[in-house]
Amino acid sequence: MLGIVLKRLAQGLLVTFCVVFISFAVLRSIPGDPAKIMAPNATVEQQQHIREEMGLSEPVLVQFQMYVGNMLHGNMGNSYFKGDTVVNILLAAAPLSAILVAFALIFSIFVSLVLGTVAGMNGNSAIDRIISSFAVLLQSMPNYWVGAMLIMLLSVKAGIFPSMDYSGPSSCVLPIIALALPLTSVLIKVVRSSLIDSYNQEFVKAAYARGLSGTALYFKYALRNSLIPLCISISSQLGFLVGNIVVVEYVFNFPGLGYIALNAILRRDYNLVQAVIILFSVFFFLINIVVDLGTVRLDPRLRKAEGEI
Amino acid sequence: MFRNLRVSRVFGKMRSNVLLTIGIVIVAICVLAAIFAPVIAPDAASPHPGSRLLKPFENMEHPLGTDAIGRDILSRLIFGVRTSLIIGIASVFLASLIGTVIGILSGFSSPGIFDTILMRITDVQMGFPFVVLAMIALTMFSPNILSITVVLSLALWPAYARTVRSSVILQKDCEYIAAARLMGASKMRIYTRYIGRNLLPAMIPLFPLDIAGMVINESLLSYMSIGIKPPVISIGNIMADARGYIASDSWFILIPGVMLVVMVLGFNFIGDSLQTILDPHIRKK
Amino acid sequence: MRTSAGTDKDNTILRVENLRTYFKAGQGNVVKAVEGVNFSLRRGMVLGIIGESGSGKSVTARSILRIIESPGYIAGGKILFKGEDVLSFSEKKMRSIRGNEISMIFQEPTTSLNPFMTIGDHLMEAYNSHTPSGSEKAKEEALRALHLVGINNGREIFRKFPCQFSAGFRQRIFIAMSMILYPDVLIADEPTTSLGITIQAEIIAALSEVQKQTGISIIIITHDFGVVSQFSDDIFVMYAGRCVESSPKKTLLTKPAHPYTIGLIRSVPLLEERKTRRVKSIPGFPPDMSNVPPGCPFAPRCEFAGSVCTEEVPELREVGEGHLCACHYPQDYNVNDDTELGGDLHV
Repeated sequence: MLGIVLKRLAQGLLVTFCVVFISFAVLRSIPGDPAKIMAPNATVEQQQHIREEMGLSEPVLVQFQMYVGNMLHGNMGNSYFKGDTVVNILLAAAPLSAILVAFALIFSIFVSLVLGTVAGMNGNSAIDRIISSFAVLLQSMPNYWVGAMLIMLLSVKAGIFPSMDYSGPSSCVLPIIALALPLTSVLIKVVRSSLIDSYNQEFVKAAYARGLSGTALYFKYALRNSLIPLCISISSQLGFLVGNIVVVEYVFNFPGLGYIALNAILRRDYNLVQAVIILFSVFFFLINIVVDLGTVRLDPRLRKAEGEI
Repeated sequence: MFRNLRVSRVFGKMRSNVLLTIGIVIVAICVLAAIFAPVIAPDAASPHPGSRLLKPFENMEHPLGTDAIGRDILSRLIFGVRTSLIIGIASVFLASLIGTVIGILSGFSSPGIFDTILMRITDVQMGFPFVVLAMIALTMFSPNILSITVVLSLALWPAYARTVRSSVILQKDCEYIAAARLMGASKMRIYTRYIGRNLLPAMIPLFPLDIAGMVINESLLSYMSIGIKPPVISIGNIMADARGYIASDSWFILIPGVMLVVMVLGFNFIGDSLQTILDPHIRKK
Repeated sequence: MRTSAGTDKDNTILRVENLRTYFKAGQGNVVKAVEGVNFSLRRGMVLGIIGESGSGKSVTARSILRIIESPGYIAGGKILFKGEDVLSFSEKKMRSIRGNEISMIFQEPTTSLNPFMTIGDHLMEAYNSHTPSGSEKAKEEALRALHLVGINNGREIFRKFPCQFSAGFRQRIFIAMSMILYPDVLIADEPTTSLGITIQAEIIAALSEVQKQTGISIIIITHDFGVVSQFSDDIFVMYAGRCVESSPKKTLLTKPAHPYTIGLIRSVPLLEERKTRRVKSIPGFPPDMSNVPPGCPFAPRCEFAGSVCTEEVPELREVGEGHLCACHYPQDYNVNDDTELGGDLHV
């Protein structure tokens, strides 16, 4: 197990490093003087200070070296718009986004397991068709629009939840739903079709022939077998989920990482943009490693292939 | 409980044909509207200050109402569909072209350094949230139809490269490829006739599905004001205009959204049904 | 409760009467996979069911356990187990029979074990699902069952997963699992078909050891004459969903009466040198099951067929002691007199 963890970590670190470097190079090669763009109202001396601080006169590789060196000491530069260090801004915003992602994941998994099971167990019945159509409909709705509709229905019309800005935990509910729905629609389909596949597997039929009850068949055989496709599709959907944070936070004026990233880009606050990108990719690869290991852990055949058993 | 689980494939196929027809009708209407937009909706840009925020069906001159400065929403939506379709189709075309070429090269050179490097690149690309990628790219280039098309296809090509690569790797060691080679088939013939032909059933349904996805992504960028900028009309920026009116005039954001969902559903119906119809495992039954 | 008089008198544990299992094929069509099958399994004996693929052997076996899946259904007949008709049982009662009193072994050992469960979990679950009694007792029984199929290092493999074993070994584990509750009847549905030739012999040996030790009644389904000639007391031949001939093994292998059985026996290649080494195959193909011709389904391929054969379905009639044959023209044939075979078929 430790061997696999290290291997995946090394792979993930390498890829993360590439992402960081490429985004760094791209951001630094944007035409224009970053010092002027970042602090347009600053004096000439202040702009000169920014240039020196960011090492803008050095070659990109040297700048990158400086940046990584500073980063390892916990210094990711300053945001000139927010007037604070990048690290402080991220520390304030990251937990909010993490809450959104975590609860959206829980919501999606729970709802898709319930609806996917109902649809899969009643293959091709009326209820299956209703659930499957619902999933296709959800998939066809852009989530910023879903967010707007949720605001319209649940906060403006019904007044249950606050609509915009952050004012306590109840502000998280609508963003979580808006973030979760597209993922849920994908997962419903996955659970449904993998359950149907599982029930057609020989070992499930064999267990049925041994006189196992319906519940035992579902939990120990069919569901167990469906968890692996579920894990794999969650990991393939994570990129979209992370990207959707930006959208959902924009729709709800929710002060998380995505909202900060969007504003930073519109204002060309490069230090902040760079830091958010790093955070996104680190987060993304960490979750991917967890899902990968989970998949291996769940499937003895993969464990055998990895030489673990 | 156990007995009725097997999905009746015959019925599934019948249903796919109905959905396919609905999807084709929706898409055909959208395409015709897009082509003839200047003819059927000449009045998308001119404001009528006298008739601001008319509700839909109130005044039959503006069947879907007017926006905050009194422009006809139906006309604007027709032009919005035009922008969506151009960007959606062009980006999927570009992405599948790049993806297929790279996937085939990668598949045939696998295992090898070239293949490993390419797969690492697609890893990096897929590890990068699309929205963030688009945000960075669109601050570098001014957002217009061409740059958005390029950005969308940049985000999409790795998916095609992976699909094609895994299909090629799966096929190239198959007995029938070996048999074709033994019978003296040329490399070109093997690529086009065998591998290409077996790729298509998996690829064709992806086109409408991805067009649907790209249409959504374009509208999303425009909604967040980093995509299509006025005066070019996109469904996304029509909705951005409506953003401030969610509380007072909620129909304003509802209508473009419904339009977009119907169009996307049309493409998704086509893709889903093609997947059912073209899948040889299902077709055999 | 006896629904059929004398079921136990002649020592019959399972009797199938006029079983019909059909599959809906869309547009109102019905495939008659099993059409009026009759046989009986004697207590403590081994019954071999032989036939080509598609002849309805597996469907017959699955009908006994009532595990036919939609769109298949049992259209009629009786399946008398210890004198009671299992077709009249509730699903709940049926579940208490499956694996407990009648158990089944499948063709493909590589796919019939749950890849996510350890060997020990499989066996203990099989035990506890019908007689819930703690893990200690279940483990003890599991080790005993493994021992029965010749696996003596039970403790070592208990926490391993199916993917860590070969197909033949998994089949033995499966047999152990099927035997853990000492059922009355074991149905083995092509248990050796997917295995290599030496492993086949191993599995048959294990089954026959199990049978010797426990005295269980076994139905073995196969298309391989080698398997039934080694390991069965009675043989029952199926063709196109019907029973064509049944008798004790020795009679059937030496004096088959049905032209189809004769054809099958003549098409078995033997290793020993013969005067004539030609293997004779049966001309033609089995009928399309969705469109079986009227009359005897074998008639189009039969060299002895007369005009009555294409009109009337032959009844199963006694042609010798315990020897039933469904043919209008039962043959008086003796394998040992067949000059073309060389007369050295050892039974």
